[in-house]
Amino acid sequence: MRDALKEFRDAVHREGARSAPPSLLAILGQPVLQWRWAAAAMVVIGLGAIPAYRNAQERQREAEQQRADALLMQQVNSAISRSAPRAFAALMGN
Amino acid sequence: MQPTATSNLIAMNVQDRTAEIVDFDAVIQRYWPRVFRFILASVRDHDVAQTLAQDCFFKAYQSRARFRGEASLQTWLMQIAVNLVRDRARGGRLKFWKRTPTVPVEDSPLPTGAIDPEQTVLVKERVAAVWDAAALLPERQRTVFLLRFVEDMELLEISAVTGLKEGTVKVHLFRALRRVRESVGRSK
Repeated sequence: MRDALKEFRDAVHREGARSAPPSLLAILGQPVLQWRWAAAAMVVIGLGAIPAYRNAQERQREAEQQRADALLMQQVNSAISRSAPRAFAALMGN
Repeated sequence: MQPTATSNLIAMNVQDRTAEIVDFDAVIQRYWPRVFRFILASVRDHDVAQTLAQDCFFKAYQSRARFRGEASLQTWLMQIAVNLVRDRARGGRLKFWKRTPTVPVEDSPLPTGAIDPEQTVLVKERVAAVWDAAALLPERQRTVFLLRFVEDMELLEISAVTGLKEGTVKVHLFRALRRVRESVGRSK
C-alpha cells in the first residue's frame, strides 16, 4: 500500500508539472474577457432599446396631438352651437 | 505590556506573510504547482484543474487586501482551492449535462528508462486504482487524503486548510485510507 501511495503521489506530481504557472495578467485577462462580453451585451440591449424609446415618444406625441385636436373641436362646436352671433347677443337680451 | 520575544516573532511572521502577497506574480510562480496539483488530483481533468487554479489565484488576488497573515499564504490559497473544488463537486451533481470526461491516468507521464515496460504497466494500474478509489471517497475524506498523501501536509496544516479539528482530520484520514486500501486490494 505504501508503494501504491508513493506511486500515486509521484504520478500526480508529474501530471502537475505539465502545467506552467500563468502570469497574473493571464489570470486577470479571463474575467476581463467576461466583462467585455457583458459590455457587448449592454451595447446590444442599448441598441435594441433605441427604437422602443422612439416608438414610445412617437405615441406620446400622437396622443398629445389628438388631445389638442379634441380641444379645438370642442371649442369650435361650442362656438357653432351659439344661438346668435356674439354681436347680436345684446339685442336678444342675453 | 512589554512585547515578548514570542509576540515579536508572531508579529514578524505576520509582516512577512502580508509582505509576500505584494508581488502577486511571484506568489503565482511559487504556489501554482501545489494548488494546481491538489485540484488536479481532486478533479482528474487538466482543463478543469487549470480553470479552477486560475479562479483560485484570481479570487486570492481580488481579496488580497483582506489577507491579514494569520495563516500562511500557502494555507490561505489551499483553503480557496479546497472551497472551489467543493463548490464544483456540489454544482456538478446538478449540472450533469456539463460533465466532461476525465483525463485518463494512463496518460500520466511515467519516468522512462528507469523501469521496464512490464513494471510501467503495473505502476500505472496501481496509480489508477488509488486514483479511482480516491475519487469514490466522500468529499471531506478525499480532501484530507489528497492533502496528506499528495501534498505531504501535516495534520495540523490540513486542519488549518479544511477548518476541521485535528482529531476529525485524523478520523477522516483513517477512514479514507481504509477505503482506499480495500479498494486497491480488490482491484489486484
